[in-house]
Amino acid sequence: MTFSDIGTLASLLSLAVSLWVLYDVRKIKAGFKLRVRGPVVIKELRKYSSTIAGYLDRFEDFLPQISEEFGKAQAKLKYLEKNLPSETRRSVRNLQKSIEKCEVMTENKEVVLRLYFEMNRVLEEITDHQKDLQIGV
Amino acid sequence: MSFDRNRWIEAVVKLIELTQDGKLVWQAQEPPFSFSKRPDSRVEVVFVCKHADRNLRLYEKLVQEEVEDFDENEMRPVTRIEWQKRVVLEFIDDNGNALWAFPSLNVINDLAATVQYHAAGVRDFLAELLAS
Repeated sequence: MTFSDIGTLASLLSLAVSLWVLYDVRKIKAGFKLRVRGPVVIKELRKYSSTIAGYLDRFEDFLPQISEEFGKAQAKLKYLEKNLPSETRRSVRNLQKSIEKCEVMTENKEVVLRLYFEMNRVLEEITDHQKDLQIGV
Repeated sequence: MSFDRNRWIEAVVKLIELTQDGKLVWQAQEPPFSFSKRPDSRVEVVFVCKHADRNLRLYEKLVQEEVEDFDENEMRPVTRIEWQKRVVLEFIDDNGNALWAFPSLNVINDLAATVQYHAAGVRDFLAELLAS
């Protein structure tokens, strides 16, 4: 093996290390953003979810309001999505797709209830991840 | 996230639906005497109902908790006592003894709000008031 070969190998190795560091820094940055902004965003999402639950009581009278709350939740989910690990991100994306597809109208109460359940399921998942971040897992 | 927890969330959403549809009726009751024994916890009212031969009890509990904070003037950590709200949903026996409590889930807060709204008769009150 010549010096030139060793040099090439070292360059490749340093490239791999740089990429790994870049990946890790991105992960740390995402975790930090979630740690700082996460609790506030999660609180807002919970508020939207609770408001939807209240509106479900008189579903037919609050169709546009329910739609609006899901819309607000959609925006917050989009913000959170970038800073989540892949498994939770997948759940958030699926929820976003379901919100996009859902038409809030009188005959769709079951679908809206299902969406409300999904929203709560994903929120618990995000909260779990947030708690893990706080204890440094 | 465990499959089990998803099932509990689904179950609570179902209880919300049944309550809103009037298929599940909750009765407001005085909290049991044992609830007032602890000075660091307060319960004002409990709601009970029977579903599928099981007794359920729901209540909001105010619990005193120590919260760690940082005093920026004195530059040292300080401990504050705060009252925190917890909502408990549990199975009880015929004598009112707690058998098993649901895991702590945010959706139980929504159930509590729904139950309070219905048990207080807010819906009927509004309908009557606006019709008069």
